Amino acid sequence: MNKSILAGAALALASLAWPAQTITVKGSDTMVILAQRWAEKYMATHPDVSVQVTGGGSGTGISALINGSTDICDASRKMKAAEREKLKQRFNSLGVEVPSARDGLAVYLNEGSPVSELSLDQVKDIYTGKISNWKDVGGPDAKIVLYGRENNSGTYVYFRDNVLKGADFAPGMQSLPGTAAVVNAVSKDKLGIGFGGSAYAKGLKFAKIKKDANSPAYEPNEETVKNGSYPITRYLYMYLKSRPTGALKDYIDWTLGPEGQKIVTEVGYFPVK
Amino acid sequence: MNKLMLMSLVAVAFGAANAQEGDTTKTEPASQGTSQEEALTNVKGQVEGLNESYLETKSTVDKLAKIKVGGYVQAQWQYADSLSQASVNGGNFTASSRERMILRRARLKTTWQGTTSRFVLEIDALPAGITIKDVNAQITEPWLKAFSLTAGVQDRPFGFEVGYSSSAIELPERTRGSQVLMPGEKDLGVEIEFAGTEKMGLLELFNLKAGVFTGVGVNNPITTTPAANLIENDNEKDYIGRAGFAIPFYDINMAIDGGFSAYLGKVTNSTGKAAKVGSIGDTLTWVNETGKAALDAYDRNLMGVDAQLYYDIPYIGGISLRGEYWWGDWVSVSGNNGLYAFAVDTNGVYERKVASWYVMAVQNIGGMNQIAVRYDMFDPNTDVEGDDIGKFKSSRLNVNDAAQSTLGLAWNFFWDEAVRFTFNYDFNMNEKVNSAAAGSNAANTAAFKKWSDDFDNNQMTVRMQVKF
Repeated sequence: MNKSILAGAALALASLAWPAQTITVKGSDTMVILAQRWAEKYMATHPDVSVQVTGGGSGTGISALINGSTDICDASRKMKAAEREKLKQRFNSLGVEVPSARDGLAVYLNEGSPVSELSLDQVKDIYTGKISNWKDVGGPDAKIVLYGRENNSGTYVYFRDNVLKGADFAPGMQSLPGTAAVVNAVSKDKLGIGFGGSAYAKGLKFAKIKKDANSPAYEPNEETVKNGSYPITRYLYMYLKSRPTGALKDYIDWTLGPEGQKIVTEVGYFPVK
Repeated sequence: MNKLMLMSLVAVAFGAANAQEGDTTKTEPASQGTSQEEALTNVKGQVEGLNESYLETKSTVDKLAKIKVGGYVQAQWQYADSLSQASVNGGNFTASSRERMILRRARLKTTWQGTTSRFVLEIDALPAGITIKDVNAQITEPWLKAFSLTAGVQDRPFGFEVGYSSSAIELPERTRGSQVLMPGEKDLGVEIEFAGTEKMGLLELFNLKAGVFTGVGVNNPITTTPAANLIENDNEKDYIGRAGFAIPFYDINMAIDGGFSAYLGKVTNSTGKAAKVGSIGDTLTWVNETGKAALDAYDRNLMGVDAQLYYDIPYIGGISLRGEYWWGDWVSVSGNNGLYAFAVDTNGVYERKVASWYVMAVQNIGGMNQIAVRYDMFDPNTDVEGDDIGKFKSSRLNVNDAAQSTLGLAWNFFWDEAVRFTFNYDFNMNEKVNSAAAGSNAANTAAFKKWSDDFDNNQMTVRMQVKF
């Protein structure tokens, strides 16, 4: 009995002396696959660290960062000034922004769609409801079915602010709970159109995008995103409440290093360096 | 959920179709194609029906998503140095108590947020009754989304501390000066706000709030009854505003914020009586002003500057250093140095020069702990020193003209994302008055004797807060 108590105490002491580090990651659904791959690879070589990844959307992740329930917030948009203020109130810190990948925000079309390219203005008009029939953009005489994300999504906010120039989405848009759901819907709907990260290109095609009616059209790929010819690009961020130290710093450094950035490419995004 | 329902429905429909197909294949092979088409049509119809139902539901959910509900509860236990201790940390203790349990706040806030408009209703549900806090409507221009107009009950746009949420303050209460000069923080009025956005270049660093308010406010010590809160009772208005800046230095995780505030107001005196500090012979006292009439308006002007520095210290956590200084001319009454509002039963107004300031530091230690220290001073009558009060029996100066200061210490422990515990101790200090005039009347005798030294009025607070 005494031996067991002793052994238990020793074990407890050992666990106190060498605690397993847990890093929690929460936020952008766009970044979920990337974050999971990073976590898997990192944990494979760092068995003393546990990285727990959940999605929920950039807004949800930022709220979690502000209330202290996550170490890292993944966000596919920048933090807003009001969110920074809340972080200042709780942690007396501006927070740390880590651009960790680049993304070409793709406009998804069904593989069977005869439309292959759109201008930014056309995309805006389609998503604000000004254009509601495919024939107005070179397609069949049929109603356009809009798929998009929910308003807690960073992709939703980025698309609204940068493509729709702040205008509201058409009320008929079907808001789906993740990029994968948008991809799935468009891949099954010949009249569908969606938007999301370019890493999710399964069973559909990307619309080539023109800056304006007279510009050449480009698909999002490493070259066009890097040289800026593809007009809808953004950074994907990790946000921390304060400057990282210890295991958290090691993990962040690793994601930005060669191994982490290789995974960025494998997943379908583009490295930051 | 909808996807799951859809898949289940499709699976069931196809299952039914296949089962039917199995049966008909044996008996009526010729009609196989027709059955499949019928089944497919059925499924399509059901999917379309489900889609319509989904769109209807979504429309309802989208409307509900614009409504946000939040709130917090603060329950606390307090221990004072003495019975019936006067306190700005939870209110005065009763004659028979020096320790108490208090429900300080039980707030419920509902916000409806539209594209360019917002409605807020916030109530405080305490044992003493339910009171309204914020009730306002806001519209934002749709072009720059930088200008907004808010009408209703809202925080006065003055200084830094007034607008700082009670659920976020690091010590149990705002400073004494803030509580006396801006009781309850709120007033009824109309305010214009400018908040620079990212697309505005350097203008992003600036913000402005300016509005016109009734000047009555809430928790007004002179109107005394809650029913009088926020009810406009004269023709005068108070113009209040703050021009601020917030400069971030992202590379070093530091920010410097600050602002300049102005409160330019007037208030109507119900009587023709008014007094200012002056000398009669050698005696510094309140001197009645002449040529005043009932319903005259009196100026109350307050200026303020505030600054905050935030810095993230590696390995420890964020620190903020904050300070604020207010000064100006204030209108109050003899027995109370607080905000004056028109009231029919006063003995006239007393015009004071006031000053209030504080410095504080807040240090986060890791994610769960935070320590705060603050020193604040409120001088309700800068024309007089402590020694002037109680010096001559003929003087009408009293302890309401003496300054008070507090050194507050607090430890905040964040149990989880919703729960915070606060452990606080306040060292309260007072300007020492002269007791030479003791004996002039019973009330002043007791007060002058008590205030001739730094009397015991420290206080401890333990608070639990749950916020959602």
